[in-house]
Amino acid sequence: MLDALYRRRLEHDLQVWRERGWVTPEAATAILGTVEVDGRPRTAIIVGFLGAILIAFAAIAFVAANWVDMARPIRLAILVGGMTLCYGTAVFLNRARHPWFADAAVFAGAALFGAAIMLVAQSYHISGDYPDALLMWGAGALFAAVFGPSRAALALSIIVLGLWSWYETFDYDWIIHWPFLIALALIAIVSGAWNWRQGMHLVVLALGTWIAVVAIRLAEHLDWSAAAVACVSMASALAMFAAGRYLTSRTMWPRTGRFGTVLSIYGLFAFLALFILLQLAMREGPSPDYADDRVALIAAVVLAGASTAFLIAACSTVRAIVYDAALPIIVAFAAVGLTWAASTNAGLTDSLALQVLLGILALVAGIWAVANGNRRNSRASATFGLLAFAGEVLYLYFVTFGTLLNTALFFLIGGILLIALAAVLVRLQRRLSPQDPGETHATDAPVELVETGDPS
Amino acid sequence: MSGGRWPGIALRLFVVLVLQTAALGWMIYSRAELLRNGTEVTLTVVPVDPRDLFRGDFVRLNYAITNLRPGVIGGDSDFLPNDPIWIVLDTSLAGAARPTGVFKHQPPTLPERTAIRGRVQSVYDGPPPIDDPDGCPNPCRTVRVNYGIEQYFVPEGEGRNIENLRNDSRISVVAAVDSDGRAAIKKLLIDGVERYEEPLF
Repeated sequence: MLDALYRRRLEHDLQVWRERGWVTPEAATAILGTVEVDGRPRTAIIVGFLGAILIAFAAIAFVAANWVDMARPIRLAILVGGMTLCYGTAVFLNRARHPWFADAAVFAGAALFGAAIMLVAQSYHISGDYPDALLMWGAGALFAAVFGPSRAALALSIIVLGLWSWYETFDYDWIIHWPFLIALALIAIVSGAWNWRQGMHLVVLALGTWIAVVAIRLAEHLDWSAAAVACVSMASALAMFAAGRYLTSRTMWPRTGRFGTVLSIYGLFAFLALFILLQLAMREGPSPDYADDRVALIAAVVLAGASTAFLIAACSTVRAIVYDAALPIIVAFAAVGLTWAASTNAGLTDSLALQVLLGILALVAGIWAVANGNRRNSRASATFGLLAFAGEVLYLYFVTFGTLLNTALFFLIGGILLIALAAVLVRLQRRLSPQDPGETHATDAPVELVETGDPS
Repeated sequence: MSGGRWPGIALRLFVVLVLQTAALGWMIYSRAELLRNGTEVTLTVVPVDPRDLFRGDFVRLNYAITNLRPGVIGGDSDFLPNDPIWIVLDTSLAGAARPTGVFKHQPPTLPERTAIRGRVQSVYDGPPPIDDPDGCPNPCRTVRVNYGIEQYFVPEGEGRNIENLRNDSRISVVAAVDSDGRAAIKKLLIDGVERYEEPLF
């Protein structure tokens, strides 16, 4: 849909450019040719999907209504028959050149496989470890997705395997349910091979959720304070961002590069959001217990170190390091340092000074994200940066509320600092520009696959 | 998406269908084998908290061996959640089997003993039981075990009745246990009389 919108706009622009004589008609045609609208009948696909789901529900309701009277082998035959029908329809639709409907049919088959597992387990009183049933379903859906091939079935397998990991974690007390990472890696490879963007988003979302669950489980298990959890999560978010940036910078791996873009967007968002959470956690007044939090803080330092390595490796020049890598690294290390100081020094924990120091770091991180977004043409980064900045200002306002004079003073100093920073930036830009004309956008990221809006 | 480099889509989806059907068949076949060849063990069903409302058309079954005190029974006690656990059952007497030991690894087979395998769901260290303070030294460790036979699906409408019987402690279950310790429900007894027997297929 977005492609179609872009094409329409491009057609309009080309019209104007042709009239002004900037492009030849042949060039205009060639340019339009590069923007392929994939021509998927999206509405038809969605309606078709809904139809398939309704039929599936009808089938299940019909079977359920007559279930008790049927002999068990007949029940099994009906289930397998349903799956055969789905996959047969997929073959038929594929041959009839409706690959997207075939995709839906494979999805229906994979969904029915799950229903079949549940119904067989019910008929034969096999309760077993129910996460195992989910694992079996997820694996079956993944098979169907690969062999179909079917994107919808792949999405189904991510959801089912995510549920599997969830139940394993919470009902069987896994602290780090690492087997999920194996499943997720397989799915990531498939989405990467298909170059399927939404699939990559799902994979990264699943990974982020998994990391959050692991952080919470570790905190419960090791008695970490809320601040320590927020700190280590913030460091892992930065690591996610840095790993994404590193993958994007490796131009010889274009497909993992696309993954890197998605990874870095979510990592950046989580990094900025967790910064504010970290301050909230500090305000909770964690009873500073250095002995309990030490592991978490060491992990945060290690993760920040790994992020540093990734971010520096992603840059090709010293200048790029200064622009792209230095600020988030400094901010992250400073935040970890402040958390560490607060956990060893009770006086600092709930003090206004700590909140203000962290607030300044968060504001710097927000500004950096905006600048980074503008430099690299990443609208997401700029938006997140602005949101984080605005959110942080509001947060600081509430923290310092009641001492209006302090609030006023803080914002006054903040405003002066920002204006000074802007002045320095302008001078820097002027000094650097003549050596490298046209340097407004990144030079170290030749393949920036973020969806770009206006370059301004 | 549907390139021609792969073998035809019909063949590919046929493979998927065969694999998925084989998985379902394996579920049923392995259970039938278990029922056919497994050792029969009678297990006492204990009442479940009455607040656990009847859900759908299955009855939740808790056994006398669901909550175990390793300190009382003997054997290993350093269990963690998610660990495998083997319980040796004494089947020499008529009636319900009695646990004689809990182990972290599969114990050797002995005559008139059957080892059933479960998965530790939770471990709880608490004060000794009020009714028998000396029976379980402080801290008294209780291990909750899942055997995979905790659900019994019944025809629609019969669930409530069986639940009431369960909460009156009138139900016991005959489980088949194979040499690996896996268990499946074979018969449901009410007041010691066979009420439901599972067909193999």
